[in-house]
Amino acid sequence: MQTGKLLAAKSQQTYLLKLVGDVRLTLCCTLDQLFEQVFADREVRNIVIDLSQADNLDSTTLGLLAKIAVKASVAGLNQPSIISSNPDITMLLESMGFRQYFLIMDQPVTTREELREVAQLSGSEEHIRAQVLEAHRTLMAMNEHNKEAFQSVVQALEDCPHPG
Amino acid sequence: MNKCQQEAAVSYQQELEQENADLKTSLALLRQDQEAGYHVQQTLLPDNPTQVNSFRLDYWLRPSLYLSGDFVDCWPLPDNKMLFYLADVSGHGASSAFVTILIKYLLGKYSETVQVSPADLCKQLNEELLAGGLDKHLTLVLGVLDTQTREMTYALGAHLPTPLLCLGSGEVRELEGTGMPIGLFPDALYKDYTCIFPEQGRLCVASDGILELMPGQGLEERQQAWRDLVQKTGGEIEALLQHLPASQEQWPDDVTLMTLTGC
Repeated sequence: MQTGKLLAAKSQQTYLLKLVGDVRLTLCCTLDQLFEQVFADREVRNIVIDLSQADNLDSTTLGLLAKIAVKASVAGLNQPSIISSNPDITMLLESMGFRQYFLIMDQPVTTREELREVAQLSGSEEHIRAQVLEAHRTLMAMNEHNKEAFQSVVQALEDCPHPG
Repeated sequence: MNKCQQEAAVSYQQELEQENADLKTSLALLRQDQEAGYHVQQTLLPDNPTQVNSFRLDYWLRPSLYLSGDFVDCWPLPDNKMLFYLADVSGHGASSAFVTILIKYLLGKYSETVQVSPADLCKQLNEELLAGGLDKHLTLVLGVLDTQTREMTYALGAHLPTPLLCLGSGEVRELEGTGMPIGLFPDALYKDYTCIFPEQGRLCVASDGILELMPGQGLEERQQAWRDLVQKTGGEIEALLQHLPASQEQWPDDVTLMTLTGC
C-alpha cells in the first residue's frame, strides 16, 4: 500500500484536497493546520475532497473530514463534496453517515468539457441573453435530465422580447 | 592518531554510552507508565464473565499496544434489566483510552434515570463529547436487555462489523438498524431498536480491528468472513480465538470481542 500523502490546491473559490494512499493519523496534524488556513480564507466557498486515489482512511482522518462538514456548515459554505471511487471507502463513509453532510460522488470531474472556467458575462443585455440562452441549450443537449431541467429557462429566454 | 585525537575519541565514546543508558532508562520509565495505565484500564473493565440473572456477558480485549481505545462494560439496572456496550474510540493508545474512561463515567451517570433509552444515551454522549472538544469520536453498540421478558432495546452508533445474533438453530443474523457515530456531528440522531433475544441465543459483537484479521479483499468480503466464522463457531469466544492468527504481535489495531449469552 502506498504511504499516505496530502495534496491541496485552490482555484478561485474552490479548495481541493486530495488524499492519496494509506492515510493514517500521522498526517492528521498537517490536515488540521490546513483546515485552519482554508477556513480563514474568506474567498473559499466550496471544498472538494478527492479520495479517488486513497487506499485507506483511518478513523482519525475520518474524524477530521467530518469536521470539515461541520465547519463548512457553520461558516455558511456550500455543502462540501467527496469524490470516492473506492467501494470500500464509500461503504465506510456511508456507514459513518457522511452522506448527510457531504455530496458523495464516485467520479472525479476531469474532462475538459466539464471543467471549464466560467467566463464573466459582459457586454450588452442582448449579448448576455444570447450567451445565457446558448449555455442552456448546450446544457440541454448534454443529457435527458438537463433537457427537462432547463426547458423552462430556455423557453422563457426565447419568449423574452428582444431589446430595441 | 595522535594523543589528542585518541582522547577525543574516548570522550565521544563515553558520551554515546551515557546517552544510550539515558535512553534505556527513559524507555523503561515510559513502559512502566504504560503498564500502570494498562492495569488501571483493566481494573475498570467489568468482571469476566459478568452474570446478570440468566444472562452472561463474556469479553476478550486485546490492545494493539498497552492501552486500548476499545472498551466493554455492563451493569445491572433496576427491574431485572441490564445495560451493556462495546465502544471503539478512534485511534488507539493513551489518548483513546482516556476517552473510554470518560464514556464509562458518563454512561454510568446518564443511566441513573428511571427509563433508560439507548438512543437517548447516545445523543447525550454525542453532545458531551462534542462540547468537550476532544476531537475524538467513537462507534458504539449499546443495549438494554430485560432479562425476564428477553426484550432487548439497542442503538447503533455506526459500528462495524454489524453485531450478530446467533439463533438457537445455528443461524446467524445481523442486528438491524443504523446510526451515526458518536462525537462527530452536532445534530446526529439516534434511534432505539427493539428485538426479542432468541432462546438459547447469543449476541456477538466485535470491534473493527477484527476485520483486519479476516481474510478477503475489501470490507464486504471481510465482513462476510467474520459472519461465516461466527456461524461456524456459534460465536463462542474461545472457539473464535482459535481461528484468529496466532502471531498477535502483528495485530494492527485493538481487537475486542463481546458476547451476551442467554443461559
